[in-house]
Amino acid sequence: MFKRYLYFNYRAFSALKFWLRRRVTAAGWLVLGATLAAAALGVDTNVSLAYQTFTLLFFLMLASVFLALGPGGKNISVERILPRFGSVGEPLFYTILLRNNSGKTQRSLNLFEEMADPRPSFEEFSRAPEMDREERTVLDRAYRFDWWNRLSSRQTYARIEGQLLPDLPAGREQIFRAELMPLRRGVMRLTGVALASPDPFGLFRSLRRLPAAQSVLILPKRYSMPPFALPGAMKFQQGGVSMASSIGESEEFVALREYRPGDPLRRIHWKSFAKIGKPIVKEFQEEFFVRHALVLDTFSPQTNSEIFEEAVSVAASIAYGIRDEDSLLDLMFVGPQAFCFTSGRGVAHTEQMLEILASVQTCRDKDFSSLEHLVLEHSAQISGCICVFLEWDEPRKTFVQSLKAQNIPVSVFVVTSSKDSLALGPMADEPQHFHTLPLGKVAEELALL
Amino acid sequence: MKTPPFLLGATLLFWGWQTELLVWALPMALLVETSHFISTRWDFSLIDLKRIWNLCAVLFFGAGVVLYSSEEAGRVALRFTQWLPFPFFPMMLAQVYGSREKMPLTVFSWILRRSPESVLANKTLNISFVYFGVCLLAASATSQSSPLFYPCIALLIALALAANRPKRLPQIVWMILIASVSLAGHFGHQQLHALHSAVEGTLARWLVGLFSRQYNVNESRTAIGRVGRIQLSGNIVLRVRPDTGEAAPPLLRDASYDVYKQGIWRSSQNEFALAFVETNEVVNLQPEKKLNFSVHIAGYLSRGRGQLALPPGVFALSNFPGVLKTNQLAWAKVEEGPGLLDLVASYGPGKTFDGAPTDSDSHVPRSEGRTVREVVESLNLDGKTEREKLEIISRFFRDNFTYSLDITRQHTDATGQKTPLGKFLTDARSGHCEYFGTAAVLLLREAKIPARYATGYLVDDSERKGKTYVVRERDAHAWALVFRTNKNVWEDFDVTPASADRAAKFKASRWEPLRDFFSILKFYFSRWRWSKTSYSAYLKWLLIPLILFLAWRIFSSKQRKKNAMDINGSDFPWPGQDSEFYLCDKKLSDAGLGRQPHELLSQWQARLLPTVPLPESLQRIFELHRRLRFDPRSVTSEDYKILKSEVQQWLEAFDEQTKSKEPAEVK
Repeated sequence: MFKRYLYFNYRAFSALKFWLRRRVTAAGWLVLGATLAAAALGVDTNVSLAYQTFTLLFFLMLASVFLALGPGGKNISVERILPRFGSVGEPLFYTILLRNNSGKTQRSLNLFEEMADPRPSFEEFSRAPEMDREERTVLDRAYRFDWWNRLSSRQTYARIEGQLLPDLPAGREQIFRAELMPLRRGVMRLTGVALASPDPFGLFRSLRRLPAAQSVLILPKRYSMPPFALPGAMKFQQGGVSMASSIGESEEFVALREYRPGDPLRRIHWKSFAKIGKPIVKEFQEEFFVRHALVLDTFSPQTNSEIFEEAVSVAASIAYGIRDEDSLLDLMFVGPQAFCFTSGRGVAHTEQMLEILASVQTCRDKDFSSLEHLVLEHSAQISGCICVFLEWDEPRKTFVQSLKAQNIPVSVFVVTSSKDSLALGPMADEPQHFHTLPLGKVAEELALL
Repeated sequence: MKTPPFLLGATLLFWGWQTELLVWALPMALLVETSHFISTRWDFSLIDLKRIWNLCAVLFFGAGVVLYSSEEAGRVALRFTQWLPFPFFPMMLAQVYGSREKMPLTVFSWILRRSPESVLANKTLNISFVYFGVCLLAASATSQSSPLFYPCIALLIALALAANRPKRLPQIVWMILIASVSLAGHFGHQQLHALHSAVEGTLARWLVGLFSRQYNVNESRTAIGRVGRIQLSGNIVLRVRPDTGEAAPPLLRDASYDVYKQGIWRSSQNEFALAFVETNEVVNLQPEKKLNFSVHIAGYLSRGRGQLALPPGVFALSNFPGVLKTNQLAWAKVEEGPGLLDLVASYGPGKTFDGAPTDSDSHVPRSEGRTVREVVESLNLDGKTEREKLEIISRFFRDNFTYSLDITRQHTDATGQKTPLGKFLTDARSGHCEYFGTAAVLLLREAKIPARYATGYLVDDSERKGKTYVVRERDAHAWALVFRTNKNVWEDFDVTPASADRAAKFKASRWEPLRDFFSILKFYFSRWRWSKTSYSAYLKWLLIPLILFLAWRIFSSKQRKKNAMDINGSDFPWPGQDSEFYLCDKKLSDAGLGRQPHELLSQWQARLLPTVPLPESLQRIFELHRRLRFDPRSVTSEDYKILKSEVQQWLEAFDEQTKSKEPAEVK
C-alpha cells in the first residue's frame, strides 16, 4: 500500500516537473519566484507594500496562464529526418522539415522533442533493488526515491531542451537543424514533436503536439585512445580465404603442380593446361592471420550498473580504436546466450560491432564460467585476448590463467569503483598489460595507454 | 536576455526613492547606466567572478548581522529586504562592465562547481532581470504608502516584459493586455488590503472571545485540585547577581493577586500607570531608602514585553531601557523593551510600592469560608496580636504540613462537600506552594489581617554559579503577602515548609549541564546584542577591510581590454604564449616562409627544414616549443634556457644566410 502511494506520488511529481519544464519559460520562473517572495513579504498589508507587487504579479501570471491555454503552432506539419546512429555524449544533429500551412507567418515558436514516457511501471518500481543494499541508506530503502531516479534515468535516452525555431513564412517550408544530447546507449524512440508558443507576456507556453514516431540507435560512449598495440602472432585460420577474403596472406600463390584426384576444378591453371596438355593446378599457402578476442564481462550483480556501462564504453573504444586492418576482432560476451561476433575487413564493420554493444545487457542468470567456455572454445584461433572485466576476483583470475597457459597473450582492463590498486594476480609477469580503470577516471586512464 | 537600456537605472532610482536611500541609489544607477556609453570592458575570469560572488555573500551576511544587531526584531526582515540591492550590486557591475553577457551558474553555486557534468553546471544566466526583481522587492519592503508606488511598479514591470513580447502580437494589443492586468492588480490589491483588515479584525475578536474564557493576563490559574505530579523544567529564566558581599534576595515577586475563586487568583486592579523613566534609564518607584542593596537581574522579554520579577522593597530600577507600567498590586509591566533586560534593582527593607489594602484583601470566598473558619477557630487566634497571629499560623503549617509535588486522590473529596483547598487544610495536609500560599492568605484574611497572594521565584543558594544565581523555571514559587498595619507595609509571608528540600524533589535532567552551557552562550550573545554600547555599529567598519581585500584580489591582476569583441572568453593566457619560438616565427614570416593558415605545425616544420640553416637546431626548437605549448608541466627551467640559446643561435645563422643571399640577388 505504502509502495503504491509512493509510486503514485513520484509519478505525479515527475509529471508536474515535466509539465512545468515545458510550459514555464525562464521569465516565468523569475515572475513565479518574485510572486512567492512578494507574497511572503506582504503577508501583513499594513507593514509593507509588497502585497501590491504581489497582486500585480499574481494577475500577470493568471493572465499568462489563461492566454497560454490554447494550442500553439496551428497548421504546421513536421517531418523529421534522423541519422542511423547517434553516440552517447556527442550531440546528435538532424533535420526537421517544417511546413506552415496557415495563412500567416508563425513567429517565436519553440520546438520540444517528445520521447517515450521514461517513468517506470509499478511492477518495475515494486521490484526492490536488493543487490546494492549495503550502499543505500535506511531512508533510501524505505522511500525508494533513489531507485525511482535510477529507473527513470534508465529510460531517459536524451536531454531535451526547447529549441527556438526561425520565423515560418505562410505557406512555405523551412529546414531546421535540430540537436539532441544522447545520454544512454540503446534504441531511442521519439514519439513526436511539440510546438510551443509563448503567451503575450512570455511567461508560459501553449503546446501543440504533432505525432512523428521514429527511432535512432544510440551507440555507446567512446573514449579517445592512442593507437593500441594488440598482442599476439598470426595463426592458421580454418576458414581460409572465404573467411577473410583479403586478410593476411590469403592470396599468396606458391607454385604450380600436376593435378591430383580430388583437387577442386577452380584451382586448375588453364593456360598451363593448354600449353602442356595435362591438368596443372595452382598451389596456395595456408591462411595465417591475426585474430583477436575482445571479451566483455557482462556478469554484473546490478541491473543498472555504472561500472557495466563504463565497461561497454571501454569495449566500444577498443573496438573502434583498433586500426589494424589486417586482423580480425571477435567480440565475445554472454547475454541471453553466448555471442561471438567477428569484425574485420571482408567480414563486418566496426559500426556493426558498436550496434551490438549498443544493445548489450547484463547477464544475471548465468555465471562467469559460461563466458570462459565460450572463449576457450575459440582459443585455437585466437592470437590474443583483450578482456574487459567488471571485477578482478578469483574466477576471472583463473580464466586469465587458463588463457595464458595456452600461450595466448592477454590484456586486461578492469573497471572498478574502488580507488585502491588491485593485486595483479596472474598478470604479475606482464603489469604493462593490466589496466585498472577507476570510475570517473576512465577517459584519463585510457588516454595514458 | 538583457534588460532594456535604462530600465535598471530607473528601477534603482525607484528603489532609492521608496526606501529613502536615494543618496546611494543615484550613484548606483549612474554606474549601471554609464556602461552603455563606455566600450571598455573588464575581462573577468571565472575565478574573478567567483571572488566577486564571495564578496556579495560577505556583504549579504554582513548586512544581516549588522541589521540583526542594530534593528528591532520585528523590523529586521523588512530592513534586510530593503538593503538587498546593496550586496548584489558588485555582481551586477561585473556583468555590465564585464566581457561576459551571461554569468556561468557555477559562479553562484559551490555544489555545481563540484559536479561539472551536471546540466546546470554548463548553463549561464543573465542576472540583470534577477537584479531587477531584487530591486522591485526591496522597493516593496516599505510601509510608506504612496499613490505613485503602484503605477511606478506596474510601469517598470511592463517595460521589462515589453522586451519579452512575442513578435506575432501587435504592440497595441499587448499594451491593452498589460493595462488590463495592471488595472486588475490595482483593484486586487485594494480588495486584498480590505480583506486583510477585515480578517485581522475578526480574528482578533475571535481570539479575544476564545481565550478570555480560558486565559487572562490578569489572573493566575493554580494547580490546586489538579491530580498528578507537578512538572517544571530546568530552563533558566533569570540570572541574579547581587553586589559584591551581599546576599541575593530570597524571593523575587512578579505579580500579586487579591481575588480568589475556585483555584484561580485574579487581580482586581487592572489600571496601570506609566512610570517615569529618566534619561539615564532610571525608574524611581518610591523614595530612596537609607539601608539599601542592589542586585542585577537579567531575563528575556518576549518581543520586548514582559513582567518584571523584583525583590521586596524595591525602590529604583536602573539600566532600564523601555516603558514601565505599574499598578496597585505592584506589578511592573515592561513594554517596548529589549530582547534581554539586564537591570539593576535597588531595594531595602520596609515599604513596597504596593497600594493600600482594599476590601478584596480581606475577603474569604464563600466556598472556602467554612473550612477556613473552622481552622482559624481551632488555632485560637482571638485576642492575639497581629504578630502572634502570624507566628501561630506559621507554626501551624510548619508543624502539621509537608511539601509534596505529588497530588493524589487524597486531595480531592469524592463527595464534593470539601474543596481541594479544604481537603488540604483538614485531611491531606501536604501540597505544593500554591496550596500553602492560598491557604495562608485565606487564614490571614479570616484572622482579620489583609493578605494577598504573590507569585514569583525563589532564589536558591544551591544554584549559585560564581557570583551569579540562576533562577530556573522550576524555582517558580507562590506565597502570601501580609499587610502589617502597625508598620503600614506589605511583607512576604512564606509558610511553605522545608523549602531546602524542594529543589531536590524536582529531578534535574541529566542534560541540564549541557543545556546550561548553551543557555549561557545565548545569554552572553544576547547581552552583547542588546547592550547599550552598540558594538553592532563597529561591525560595519570591520567589514570594510574584508571588502577592500576581496576587491583588491579581484582587480589587482586585471588587464583591461579595449574592445569587448576581441575577448575570446578564455580564463587564462594559453601556455607557451611567451615562447622564444615566436622570434623565429616572426623572422620566417618576414622572409616569406611563414606558416600558412591551413598548415599544421609539423607540416610547416617539414617544409622549412630543407631550406633553413641549422635544421637540427630548428628541429629542437620546434620540439621544445611543442612541449611548452602542449605539455608545459614537463618543461623545466633548464629547457627554457636551452630554447632561448638555440633560438639565438638559429636567428644569427638565419640572418647570416639572408645577408649572404642578398648580394647574390643584387648581382
